[in-house]
Amino acid sequence: MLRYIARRLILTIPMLLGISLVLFLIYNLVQIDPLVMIVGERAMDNPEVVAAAVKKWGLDRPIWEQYLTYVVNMARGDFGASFLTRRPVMDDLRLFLPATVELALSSLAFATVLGIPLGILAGVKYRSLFDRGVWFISLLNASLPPFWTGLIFLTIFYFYLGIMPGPGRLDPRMSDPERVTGLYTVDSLLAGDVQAFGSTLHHLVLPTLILGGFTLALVVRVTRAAIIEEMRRDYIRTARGKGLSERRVIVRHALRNVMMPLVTILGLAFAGLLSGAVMTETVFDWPGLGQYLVKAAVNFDYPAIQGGTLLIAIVYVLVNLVVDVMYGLLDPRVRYD
Amino acid sequence: MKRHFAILLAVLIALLSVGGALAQDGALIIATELDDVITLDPGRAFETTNLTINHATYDTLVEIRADDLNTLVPSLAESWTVSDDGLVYTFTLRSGVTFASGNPLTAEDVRFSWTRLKNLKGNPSFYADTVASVEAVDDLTVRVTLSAPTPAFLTIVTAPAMSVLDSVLAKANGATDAADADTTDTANDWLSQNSAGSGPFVLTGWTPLGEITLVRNDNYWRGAAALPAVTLRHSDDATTKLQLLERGDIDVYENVDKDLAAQIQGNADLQLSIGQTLNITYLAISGDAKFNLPLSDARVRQAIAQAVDYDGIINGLLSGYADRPAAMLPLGVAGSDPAKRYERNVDAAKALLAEAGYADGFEMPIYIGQGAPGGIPSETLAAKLQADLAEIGVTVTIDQRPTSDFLTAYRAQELSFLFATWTPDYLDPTMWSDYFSYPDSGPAARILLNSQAIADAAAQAAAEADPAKRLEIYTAYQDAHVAEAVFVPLFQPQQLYALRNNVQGFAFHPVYFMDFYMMSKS
Repeated sequence: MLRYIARRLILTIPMLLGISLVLFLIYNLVQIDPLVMIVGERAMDNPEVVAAAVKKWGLDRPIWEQYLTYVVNMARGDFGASFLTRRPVMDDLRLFLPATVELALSSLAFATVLGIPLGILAGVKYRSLFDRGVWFISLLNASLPPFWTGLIFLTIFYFYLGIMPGPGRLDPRMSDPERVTGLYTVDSLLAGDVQAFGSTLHHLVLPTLILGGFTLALVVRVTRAAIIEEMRRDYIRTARGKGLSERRVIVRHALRNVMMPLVTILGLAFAGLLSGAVMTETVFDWPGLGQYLVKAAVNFDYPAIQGGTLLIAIVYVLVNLVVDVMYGLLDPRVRYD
Repeated sequence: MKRHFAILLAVLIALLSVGGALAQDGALIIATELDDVITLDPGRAFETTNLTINHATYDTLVEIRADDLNTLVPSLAESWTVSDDGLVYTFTLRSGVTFASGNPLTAEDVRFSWTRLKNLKGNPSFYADTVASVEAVDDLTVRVTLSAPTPAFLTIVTAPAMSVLDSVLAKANGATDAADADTTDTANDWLSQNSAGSGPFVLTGWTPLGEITLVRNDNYWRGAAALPAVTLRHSDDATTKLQLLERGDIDVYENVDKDLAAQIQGNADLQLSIGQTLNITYLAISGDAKFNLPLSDARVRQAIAQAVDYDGIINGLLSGYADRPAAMLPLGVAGSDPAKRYERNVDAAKALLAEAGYADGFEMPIYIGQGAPGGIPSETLAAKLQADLAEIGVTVTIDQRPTSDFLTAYRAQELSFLFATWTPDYLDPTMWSDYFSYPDSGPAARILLNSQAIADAAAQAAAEADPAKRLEIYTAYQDAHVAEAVFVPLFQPQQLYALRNNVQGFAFHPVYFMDFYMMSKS
């Protein structure tokens, strides 16, 4: 098992190299002069400033040397510095990732806790009114764009009803909790600030509903379909024949087999939540990875794009690995060799 | 199970209601866009938001107030003299001024700050380009020697980049004014989270795409500010910002979307304040022969300038929130004369085209980037110009590129016809005439402008110390621009601020936008 994990991790190295090479080639094909962005339009007239920037950012080196330097630095965990923020990309990612992780975890929890029971009930009561209702709501969830639902939710629950807070991670009149993990829920508790903790939770509700809504629809549909299929199997008939209660049949027997496809979906959904929350982050002024990467892309901030892309690739690799390991735990028939 | 759920729910509701209680109630909270902030170090920052923050946390020797943009007012300097040759400026500092840290202000702090700005070789270092040396003659006397006479120097001194840093505190946190400061100065991170100034506020933190927080400097030498604290919060979406303001969660919404202006005026709890910027959104028409376009004939450029529906752009695309500046000097700057510009006259434009031999018109591209320079999405403004020029028979095709690509090509002198926006860093007319006149600098170089009349007038004006004579030269300068029609100003956008009624004392400043010291909240 450990050998399997180690081998999988080693295999990611050529993959990351490949991704970085493709990104590097695209960057050099597009022929955009990053200098304008680094020093700004006006300072371009000052040769001294331009020369200092060229030297500092290594833009006078041949292309292959720039790439080699990049790969060597990357191996040391140094992704270079963002043209746009002038800070190390690693620091930027560390800064913006926690907000995204906090929202992704909260959305995943929401989708799982609500989605699995709903999916089971809908599957068991296949074709009932309840099933159709759940199906309709999850279809709605999956097809409405989050920037639209986000604005509508804010308008109703914040602006008109006033029962939910506005955008942001914390009440504007409160100061941010001292940064330890970057997760405001954890940091506010560590700081012993109950007010900030409450405000953080409150601020998480609407973006979680929006972002988690899509995942919820996915979880419901997968659970429902799997339950429908499992309930027709022979072992279910056997279990019923033994005289087990219907509840026991579902929880002890059917649910175990439903876990396999669910784990796959949840793993991918979590990776997706980390990389695809751009719209929700924008509507809710959520200072996360999505907003950071969009700004990097618009401004052609190559080191930031590369660092962010590699980070997301690593997340996918790790999530897939976790999912594969979980298969083994859930199903004794799976062997790693 | 059900009971557990009920308990959980009760705990949650309790927590959420606690979350409603608030900390700093008197703070002024502003929703704005903070995505431009890279650093808050006055020696390194060269974006937009930093100007407001630097102005709030630092002082300059001389300043220009929002109520009179053509008058220099003493600030940290009590008085100054200029040598007859215009090369040596001697400033006498106000005595008894202390920084927020408690350290006294001395001439050494000024010497340190300006030398550091120059040696950092950063984006704003050009402010000190003309400074050859700075000496601290005694504790309260600073002598600056310039490399060439620069009548605009005192105006340059008012720029936030020329702020005076507490040299003791700054050095303790890694700052240096050494010749190799560009590689040895390590104060950037500290100065982006803290300030080392004498201004009315102290910077207490910055979270990228999050917020910037300031608290009052109780020992401010002019007397403590009315506001105990100021928070600027990042927000991208216009509708969201208006909702925050209407609900009273924020006090000021900076740079209001012009489509929302009417809604703000209709709300009795809010006030709309209109700021006159000194930005010019201009059309650039290259007359250079290398493009092989009819544009090399001045009559064709003049025809284009007369075909543009200026009022239609301002009223239709900016809801009326813009002015019409003179040819390359914005309204509000000394010497700007609104008569020196083109008016729409389609018949005259057609006649000019015919005279130049293009009665049947011609075809050419307009190059645009992305985003909305000046407040109108590039593609919208391009489409409007396309329609206007079609009326005189000129067929315009739109070539849109990513902004960085567009700027690279503009700099490389590859674009013949485009529009762009110029924003000033200080308020002297040379802020425009230095950049829109000479074949080797600024936008003039990019569009390959080569006009002796414009270059001569700009050079004379820049060297003229007598204000009356300078105005005369600038009149000739604007005439030359009108005749050349290479740079055609389209509009001078206004910047809108929405404030809750309990906010007082706001006055828009075209360089640093907001002055928190003048503001209060009841």
